Amino acid sequence: MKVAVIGNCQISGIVEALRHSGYVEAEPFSLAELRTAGRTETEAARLPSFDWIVIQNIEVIGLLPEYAPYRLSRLQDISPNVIVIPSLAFTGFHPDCTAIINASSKVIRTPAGDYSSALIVAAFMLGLPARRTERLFNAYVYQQLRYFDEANKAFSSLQEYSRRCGMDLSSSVTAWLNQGVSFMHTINHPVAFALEGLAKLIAARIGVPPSLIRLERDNLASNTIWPVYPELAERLKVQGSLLFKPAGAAGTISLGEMIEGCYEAYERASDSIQISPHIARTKAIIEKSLVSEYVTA
Amino acid sequence: MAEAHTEHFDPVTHLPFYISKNEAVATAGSCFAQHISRALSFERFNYLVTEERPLTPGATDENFGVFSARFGNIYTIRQLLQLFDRAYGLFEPRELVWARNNGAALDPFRPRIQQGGFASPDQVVADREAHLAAVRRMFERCAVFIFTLGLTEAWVSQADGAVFPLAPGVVGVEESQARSVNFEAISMIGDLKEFIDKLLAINARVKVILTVSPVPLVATFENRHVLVSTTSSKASLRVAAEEVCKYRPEQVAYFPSYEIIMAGGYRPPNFADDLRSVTEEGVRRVMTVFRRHFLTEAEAGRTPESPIGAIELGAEDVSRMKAVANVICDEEAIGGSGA
Repeated sequence: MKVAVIGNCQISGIVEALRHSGYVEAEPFSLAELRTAGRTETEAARLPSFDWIVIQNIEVIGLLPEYAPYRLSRLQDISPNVIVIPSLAFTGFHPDCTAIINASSKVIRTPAGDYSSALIVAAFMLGLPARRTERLFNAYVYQQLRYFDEANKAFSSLQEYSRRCGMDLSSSVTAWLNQGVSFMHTINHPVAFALEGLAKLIAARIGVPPSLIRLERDNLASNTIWPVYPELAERLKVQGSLLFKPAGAAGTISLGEMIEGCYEAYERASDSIQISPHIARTKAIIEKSLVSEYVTA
Repeated sequence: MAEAHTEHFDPVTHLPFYISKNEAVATAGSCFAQHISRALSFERFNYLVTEERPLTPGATDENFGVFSARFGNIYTIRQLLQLFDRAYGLFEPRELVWARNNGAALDPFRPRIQQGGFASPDQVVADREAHLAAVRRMFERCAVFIFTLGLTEAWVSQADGAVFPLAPGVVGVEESQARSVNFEAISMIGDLKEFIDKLLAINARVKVILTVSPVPLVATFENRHVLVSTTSSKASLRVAAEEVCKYRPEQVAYFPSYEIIMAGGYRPPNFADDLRSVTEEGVRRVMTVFRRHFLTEAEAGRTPESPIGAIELGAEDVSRMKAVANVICDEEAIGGSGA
C-alpha cells in the first residue's frame, strides 16, 4: 500500500512509523524541502499513483502559489483517499517559547535556532541586564504571564483544530500528558511517541493494525530541545530543567548562556524586531511587576 | 484570682482553618516569631525549613533553622514584602553589599546572619542567591505561613526605599545612606494585602496566620516616650492584621498572642523583670492556646488537582496557537509567532 504524507518537519517521523508496519510504502512530501528545491509541481505530479494521500492541515498551503498543487480540493480531484491530519502543535510545556521576526519577516535566530523566549525578548526590550533577566525565571513571573494556564489553553486549541481536521486528538493528548515526560521538544516539534500516536491514528484509517506502528528514532530530538521550566514541570508532572539544547548540538547551554546569546542576537536586530501581541503582552506584564523604588512617607 | 485568670486566659473563639500535623508550617517575623518557630519545632507541627545548612563557600554554620529560611528577623511588613519581591526578581535594591569597618562584607538585608560577615562582596551575593532560592521554596511549599508583625519603624535606603532590618551603624557600617521611617498604618495595610496577594499567586492553597509581637519597643525615632511609640506601633500593626483578615477571611487568620501576653500587663509571669522580654512561661501560654485551637490530628486531605482540559481561549491565544500549528520549519514564520 502506497501512502504519500505531505506536510512539515513532523512527517518524516510519521512516515518512518508507518513503514515499520511492513504493510505501508510511505513516502514523505516535505513542503519546505520541495519548495527549496523548486520541485513542488513535479513531485505533485506523482501523487495520483498513491493509494492514500495524507496531508497536514497547514494554512500556508492555501496561501503560497508554489503549494497550489497540494491544496485539498486539488488532492481530492486526483484521489478519493485523502486524509487530513493536524500538525501537532502544543504550547503547554513551553509557553515561553516563541519566535520573533525582523522587518523583512525573517526569523531572528538565537542559540535555540528559530526560537526565542518571550520573557527574554521582553526583558531585552525593557533594557534589563542579562543577570537580572535570569532572575525572572520563577513561579511568580510565570503566574503573572499565565504560563500555568497554557497547558489547558494548548489542549483546547489542539482539540478544536484536530476536530476540524476530522481527527480528534483529545484522548491521545490526554494519554500523552500522563506519560510523565513532555510529548513536545518545542512548541511544534513532537517527541517520537506522540508522532507514533498520530501515525497509529492514520494506520487505523487506512486499514493497517495500529499495533504494528512504531517509531524507534526520535528524529526531531536532533533539533532544538526547549526545557520545561521546573515550576511548570512540577505542575505538569514531568522533568523540569533550565538547560536549552541548541539544534545540532550534543550538549546543552545554561539559561545564562541562552540569555547572553539571545541578547547578542537582538542587539544585532534591535531596530527591526517586530513586536507580536504575545511579546507586547509579556513586556507589559513584566514592566508592571517590577519595582524600582518603594515610596515611603 | 488574677493569676488564675491569666494562666487560663484564652481569647480565641473562631478560626477559619486548622493546621493538620502533616501540613508544612513556615514562620517569619520579629524576635517574638523566633519563640513561635522554636515552639513549633518542639511541638508536633511539621515545621518547614528550606535552608538547612551552608550552601556556598562563604557561609558559616550559623542561624540555620531559626526561621524557615536564613533571613533573620523580619521586623516590618515592608521588609516582608521586599523579601518576596527580591526573591522573585521583582526588586533589585541598589545597595547590595555593606562593607564593615573591619573589611568584612555583609548582606544589608540580613546583616547578623553570620557573626563575622563574609570575606568578600562576591560571597555575599552568591550566598544571597542560594538564600533567595530557599525563600522561594518556602513560599511555594508551605501550607501555613505564620508572620509575626513586629515594628513600624525601620531604616530604609535613601536610594530606593529598600528596608534594612537594623541601622547600618549598629553593625559597624558607615557608608550606607539609610534613613529612618515610621510606616503609616494605611501603607502597612496596603503592603500586607500586596504580600498576601503575591503569596497566593504562587501558592493558592496557603493559609496565613498573623500575630502581633507583644515585645515593646526598645527605642523610638519619634520625639516621645518609647511607651507611647510602642502603643502607637502595636495599634497600627493590630489594625493592619485586622484589615487583612477581613480582606482575605478564608485564607488569613489572626492569632492573639499579643492579647494573651498583654492580658497580664507588662509584668511577670508573662514578662521578665526587665518588663520587656517575654518569658518562656509567657510563650508556653501562647503556644498552649495556639495548639489547642489550630492543631488538628486529622491529616489534611489532598485537594484533587484538576486534570488538563479544554478552557475558553482569548483572541490572542487563538491566533498565537494557530500560527504555531501553521509553521513549516525553515520557512518564514507566518504571523510571527511560530518557529
